[in-house]
Amino acid sequence: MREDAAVIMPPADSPATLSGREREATAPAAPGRRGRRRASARRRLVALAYLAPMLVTMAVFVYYPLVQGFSYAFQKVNLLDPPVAVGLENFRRVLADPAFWPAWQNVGLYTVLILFFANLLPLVISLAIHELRWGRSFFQLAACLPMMMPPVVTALLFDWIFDPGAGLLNSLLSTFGIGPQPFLQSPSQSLPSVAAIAIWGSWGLAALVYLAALQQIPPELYEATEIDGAGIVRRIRHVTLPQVRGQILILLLLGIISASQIFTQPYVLTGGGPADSTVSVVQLVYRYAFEYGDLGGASALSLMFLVVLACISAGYMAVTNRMARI
Amino acid sequence: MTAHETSARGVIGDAARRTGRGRLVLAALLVLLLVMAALSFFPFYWLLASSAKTPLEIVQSPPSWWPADFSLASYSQAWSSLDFALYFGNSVVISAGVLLLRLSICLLAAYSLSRLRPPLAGVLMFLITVIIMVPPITYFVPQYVNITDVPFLGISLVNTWWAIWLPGITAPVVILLFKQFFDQLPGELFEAAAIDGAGSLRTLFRVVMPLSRPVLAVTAIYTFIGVWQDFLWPLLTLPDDQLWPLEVAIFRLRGGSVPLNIQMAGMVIATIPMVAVFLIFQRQIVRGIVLSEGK
Repeated sequence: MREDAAVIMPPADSPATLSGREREATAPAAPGRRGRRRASARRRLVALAYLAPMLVTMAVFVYYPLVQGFSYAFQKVNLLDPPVAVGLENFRRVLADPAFWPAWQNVGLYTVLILFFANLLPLVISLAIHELRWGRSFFQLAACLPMMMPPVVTALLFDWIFDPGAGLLNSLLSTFGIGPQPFLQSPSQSLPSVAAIAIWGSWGLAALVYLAALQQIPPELYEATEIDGAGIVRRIRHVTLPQVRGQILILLLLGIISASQIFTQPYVLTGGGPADSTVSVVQLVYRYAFEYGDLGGASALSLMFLVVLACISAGYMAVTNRMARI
Repeated sequence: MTAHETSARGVIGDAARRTGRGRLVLAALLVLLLVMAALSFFPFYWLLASSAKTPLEIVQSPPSWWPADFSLASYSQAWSSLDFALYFGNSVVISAGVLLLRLSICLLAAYSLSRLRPPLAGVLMFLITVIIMVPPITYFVPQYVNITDVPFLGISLVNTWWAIWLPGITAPVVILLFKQFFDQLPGELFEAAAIDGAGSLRTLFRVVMPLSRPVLAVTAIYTFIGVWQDFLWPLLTLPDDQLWPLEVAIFRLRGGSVPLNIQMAGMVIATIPMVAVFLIFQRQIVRGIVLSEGK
């Protein structure tokens, strides 16, 4: 499960917020102008003291590395010698890497597969669960349990299930008369296999979000369309989909951001192989930094990744905003 | 039966449920869901069944559906001779440290931003929350370099718990959730506390924290799940085998000489706390998702 799962969307400022703050602003203050000024200076100091631990850790472990990452991208950095400015040399080297384009292509494929199967298909499952009059909590549990399995465990378990020799999947297929498949060991089947494993471990989140949204749809909406004589398909199109539209759009955006950063599954399952058929961009960053000891190259690649991801996210938001206006 | 709960209504109306076609659609949906449930549960069964097989039976082809020699010896072997007790303890220490530090420091920061009106509060809030939008891979490599050589201190945190605890504090999402919650608390509470002469720290402990139990619970659960499942960061920062958390140990012990059934037992040991947390806190986890939807 993703750690950022707890926040899908920041709620807008509610009226309660504003009135609470206003009331506080007009709260009785200490008597006397000088006393008030001294009190407010003290208040500010206390307020900053409460914030200080967070600001210091953010500065050391987030902001500073962020700035450092940008400067590394244009320097030769290897932890032994002092960094030397090299201009665009890192970018040139990374671009010339034979695994560079395959990695981007793989990430595109991973993202499309994960978006479809782990972000859109769960809507169908959630709709089905929501139709039930009993057993909803059982099926909700079934949907969520896979994301509780730690990703490393999931990867290693499926590595065993997908094993071409004594694995479960091939023996299942043989009962249907299908010969043994190489799965993770063949360049053509490895990427779909890795994606399937990632999907199994992550689709429950979308199902939970959709289930929560479906429960918010006022029943009157369905009743009104029923009276109009709308069939099931039309009811889904004109009532359900518009009501969960916001969730779909947000889940797709979060899906793009998290799926494009896929790492653990290809790293544990295939190491990126065979023949770079499953390598992802983040994994390539890992290779540069921790296998080649080339921090400059790793940072140049992360910088490219950031720019591409930011462009795609911004484009996505622009398109969905325009669609919302029509 | 939740049939008469108004919010429980689905797309198919009551009348349609009783028609032949409605029944057929519902039956098809049920079949779909049963397939989904089987796909979800079966790998868990397979993990448990594999861990109860003998080293010979687990690698036989075709595999047996049920362990012929059902035995839990793999668990005691994993727990004692393969040090899974140690790894489990390490995972607990790592999670507890992050939980304690993250929640307390985020609580202080969010309380200050929401109620104490620090200078430049808007700018600071922006600086903190904008990080939510930055993919961690952008600063991952220099962050690791930082751990090997902390700025200003010049010490290495590699092979210490602090390598995970300190970066674990920085959770802008948690600050955002806390702040939103504190913003919605009624101002009268704080006025009353001020009239009683309570300082800001006492107000935090006596007024804010008791009211914040729901949001504290949700963030604690999500933090625990996230830290327990984390893999790459401890893999890099804790190379010493005495400090490995479960996920790292499972990864490192694969292949090698450890029999597969014992590896599977180790994987079960790593999964049990997660499943337990889900079963116990299912309501809070679902609430976390609703809360985050802003509804």
